[in-house]
Amino acid sequence: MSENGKCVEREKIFAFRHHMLEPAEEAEVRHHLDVCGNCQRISAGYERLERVLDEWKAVHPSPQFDALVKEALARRGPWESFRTLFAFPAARALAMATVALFVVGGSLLVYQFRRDSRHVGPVPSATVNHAAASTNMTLTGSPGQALLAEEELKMYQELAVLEDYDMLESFDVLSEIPAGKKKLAN
Amino acid sequence: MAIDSDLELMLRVRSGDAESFDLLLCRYRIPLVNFFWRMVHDRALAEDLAQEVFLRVYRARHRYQAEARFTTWLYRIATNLALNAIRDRRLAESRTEPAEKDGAATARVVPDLKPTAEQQLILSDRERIIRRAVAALPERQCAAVVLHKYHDVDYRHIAKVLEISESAVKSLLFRAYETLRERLEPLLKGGQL
Repeated sequence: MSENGKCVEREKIFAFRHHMLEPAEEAEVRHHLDVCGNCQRISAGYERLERVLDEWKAVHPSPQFDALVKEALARRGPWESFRTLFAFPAARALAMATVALFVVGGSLLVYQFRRDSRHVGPVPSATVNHAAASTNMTLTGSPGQALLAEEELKMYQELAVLEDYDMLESFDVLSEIPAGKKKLAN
Repeated sequence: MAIDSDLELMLRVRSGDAESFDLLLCRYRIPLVNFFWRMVHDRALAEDLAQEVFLRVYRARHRYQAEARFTTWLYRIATNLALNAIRDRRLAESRTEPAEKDGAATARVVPDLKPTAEQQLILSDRERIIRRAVAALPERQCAAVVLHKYHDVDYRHIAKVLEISESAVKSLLFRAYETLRERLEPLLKGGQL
């Protein structure tokens, strides 16, 4: 606080001493300091503080400091080397491109697989063969097992129809019920 | 022979030049050890933390952006490490000495400075008083004063290092210097505490 109410604030004197003011404000404070003994004392107080703080002398690092830094750098593990490798912009771009390739390739494969399975067509021979093989195998077993195998074979043969989503979408349940039962239902 | 700028050296380090890293090490080992010494008040810890800064600089060399001033980047790493070290120590002290805790939650715990016999001989009483006064400042004020007073970092760059506004730095520095002025009053008058 100033003595006569016209002095500049302490904070402004501090800012002036450390070149933190705008040029116009700095000129104003400089002009005031030239004529005001009170503000000159405040400014001198900051100067003394800086001189006192200068008494805290710097220290020197130990002679082995550089060697310790280099030793620590040499100790970098494989993970660090891996990270360093991927820190290169080119390597990072290559890694991203590989990931992108995998994603696109994978998507194409899935799309192709789903498209193939949607098309109604002959049952894949491998599936039939597999089912037939299981039927043949069960012929030697119990009659119940033979029946199960037959049902499985039938299911495999109708698999393509069951997975034809276009057909399933337009599937009308009532049209499959015999006429007599429709009346009953009504 | 022209003296290479920090930026040029760092760009060369980025492209794998080990000699440029040695030059940076040579240029900044004293400032960094002193920065940590003034922040954590422990010579051994100060050296460990300074080494850690160089390791981090080296590891992050590929991420270095030439737009930023090298010292701003360097002191930002150093300040973060110093503040973490102070907090860790404070936490450790609060765990070991729970009975000594008082109600002032915001007050910074002044580290118990235990200089070795050699250090005791070297340090004058006045220097120890100054050290304690700076150590008693709140963390950010301490960092701002150390950077401003002992490392000639101007307030604009301190703002970037501490990631706060320039006006906040001005206010931070003013409050810190005012506190120091009050605490060091006997020394300012030419006496001892």
